[in-house]
Amino acid sequence: MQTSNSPFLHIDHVHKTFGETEVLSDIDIGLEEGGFLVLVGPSGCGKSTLLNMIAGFETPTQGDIRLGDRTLTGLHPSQRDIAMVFQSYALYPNMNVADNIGFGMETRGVKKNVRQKKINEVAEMLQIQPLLKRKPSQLSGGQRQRVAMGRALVRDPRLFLFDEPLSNLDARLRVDMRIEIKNMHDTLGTSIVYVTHDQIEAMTLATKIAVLNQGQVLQVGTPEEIYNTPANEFVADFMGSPSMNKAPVALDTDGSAVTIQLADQRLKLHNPSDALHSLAARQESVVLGIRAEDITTTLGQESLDENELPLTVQFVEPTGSDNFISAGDKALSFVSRAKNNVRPSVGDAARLKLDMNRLHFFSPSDGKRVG
Amino acid sequence: MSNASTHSSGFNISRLFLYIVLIIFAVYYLLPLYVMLVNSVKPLEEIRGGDMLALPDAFTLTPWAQAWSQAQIGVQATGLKPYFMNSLAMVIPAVLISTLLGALNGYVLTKWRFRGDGIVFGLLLLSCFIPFQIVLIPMARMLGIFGLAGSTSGLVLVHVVYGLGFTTLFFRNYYAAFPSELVRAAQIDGAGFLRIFLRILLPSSGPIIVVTVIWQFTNVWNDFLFGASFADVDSLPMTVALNNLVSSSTGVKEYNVHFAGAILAALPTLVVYVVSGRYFVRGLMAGAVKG
Ligand SMILES: Nc1ncnc2c1ncn2[C@@H]1O[C@H](COP(=O)(O)OP(=O)(O)O)[C@@H](O)[C@H]1O
Ligand SMILES: [Mg+2]
Repeated sequence: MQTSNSPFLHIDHVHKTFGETEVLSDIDIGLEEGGFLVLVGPSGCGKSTLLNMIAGFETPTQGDIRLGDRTLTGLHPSQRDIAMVFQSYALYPNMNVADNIGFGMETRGVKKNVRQKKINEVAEMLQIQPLLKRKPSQLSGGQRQRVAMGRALVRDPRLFLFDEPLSNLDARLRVDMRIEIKNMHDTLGTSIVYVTHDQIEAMTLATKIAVLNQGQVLQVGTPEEIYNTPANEFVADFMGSPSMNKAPVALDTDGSAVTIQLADQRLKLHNPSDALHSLAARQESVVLGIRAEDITTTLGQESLDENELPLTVQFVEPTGSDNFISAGDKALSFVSRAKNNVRPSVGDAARLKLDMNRLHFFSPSDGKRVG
Repeated sequence: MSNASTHSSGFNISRLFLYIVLIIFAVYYLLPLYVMLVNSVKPLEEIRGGDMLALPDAFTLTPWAQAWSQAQIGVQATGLKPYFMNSLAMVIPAVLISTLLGALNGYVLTKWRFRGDGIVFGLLLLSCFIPFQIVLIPMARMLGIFGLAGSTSGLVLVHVVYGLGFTTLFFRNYYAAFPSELVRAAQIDGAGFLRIFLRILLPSSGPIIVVTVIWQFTNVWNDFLFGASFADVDSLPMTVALNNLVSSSTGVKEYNVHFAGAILAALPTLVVYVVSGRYFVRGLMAGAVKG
């Protein structure tokens, strides 16, 4: 059932069970040609399994995966026109760097001089020419990572697969390589599926993010959509650091406007959704969410504005550029982000102004977004 | 300046004690070798008349020459030489084949897992613990059926079958620590079952190959029971021939020749151990290959 506007890569209602346990359930994700799809989720949620099915190391129990105009089901990994970079790099320990990069061509019977030429091209691109004669054991982590990328690049595939490629690098190198992968994608324009449990990697690299948890896709969207309008509490918690602040609030209505009760203040919502309107009519409770950067903390409580909460500073975490200030009362506690010159002491009185346009509301029963 | 260095520079009673104990044990184990060596280069009269531990008065290599090529073993006075060759003709293929098959088994059992692979491995392991005596009669029957009774090829088969449990165990454990992502990377690169084995796993298996070869060589070379049970006169291995030399020579017991023959029989395993013994320990300790 191939239509002209179907996506370049289509993971079409895929299920996967190992024995009795269902590891992935009804995964349906499409990626346009040239896109950068990041599969993100906590460890054990099934990201690698999904990637392995695209690569052909696992077979879907149900559903189909298509790339371009053909189905991948039944094709050997070498025939799928893909290349993969593994978490452990998986460099052949007995071969030097050049042979590692050239092994695929050697298997396909490419002539030695052609092989040599391609190896050199890739080595130049990744600046690893001086390493070509070395064995993997003589390389640093970052160099191995480069060689692994080289081995993928030389295949010139239609789709790159990355399985947590940066998780074995130290923090500094991780940031550098992240930028390089992004640049590589911008230069080559080849589609990528990238697995990570690191939400920052997901935000910085992706053109499209799929958040997975316990074998299910919770939300698919651009990084902005995922960050600004998380579909449920899990996505809201998982994406962004620090995690989104949350507090249970009672909804109420004074006829036209919807209000919430927080720290003895009554706040009027801007543009509440229809769902919130009807929940408010029944005076139900919801979970309020707000990100640290959407709260402005000012010291002192002499004059309290509308939309400001009088709270006590509980904890200050300086990160250099910003200070994360925890403030609360008996019932709630909010972390806000402030400039590094705002440095209150524990016990200080503060007032927290919430950006009323950036509130999130979730149903307390199933965690779904309601406004 | 570390603490350890200041400590060890002082006189240390317990360390001295340790050395003394170690030296006593070393002497205890080396004494038989010394006795054999010393007496294998003495004329027979000197052994009879004198002290087993004394160095030779009249040094001679005649006993060695006799043991090697002149002593009466069985019907003919051929010395141990043809039997030494028999043993070589048995041990080399037996070690090579069982090591290669063990490597293949280990590869399949870890990287190409199949339903029931655990049971297969369990059965292979069990074969390590079956006492030799139990299989003697069934094995003789099998060799008869295969037409290999009394031949060196028959002995090779017996030793390959018996060694397979251990060689598989060695390689399985080694390859279990070998990252499966390597096999996957090679699959994407288009390599099949055999190419992955020959180009990637086998070349990275040096340490475990050494362990397996030493283990198999020592076991096969030193085997007496299978040799005595299944070999013919013209395929008798060294161990059985040595026994015949020592126990069946008529007339005077030529102890010096016996000693020389015993050393000749032990020599190959000794050489193998001295040459590659240090890799043995290293191979047993070796863990995963870090890509
Ligand atoms: N071959 C397998 N057999 C049985 N269970 C498996 C297998 N591979 C993965 N799993 C299970 O599937 C779940 C998802 O694993 P995985 O895809 O590796 O997660 P992630 O990559 O997101 O950390 C885990 O609970 C894991 O234990
Ligand atoms: Mg994983």
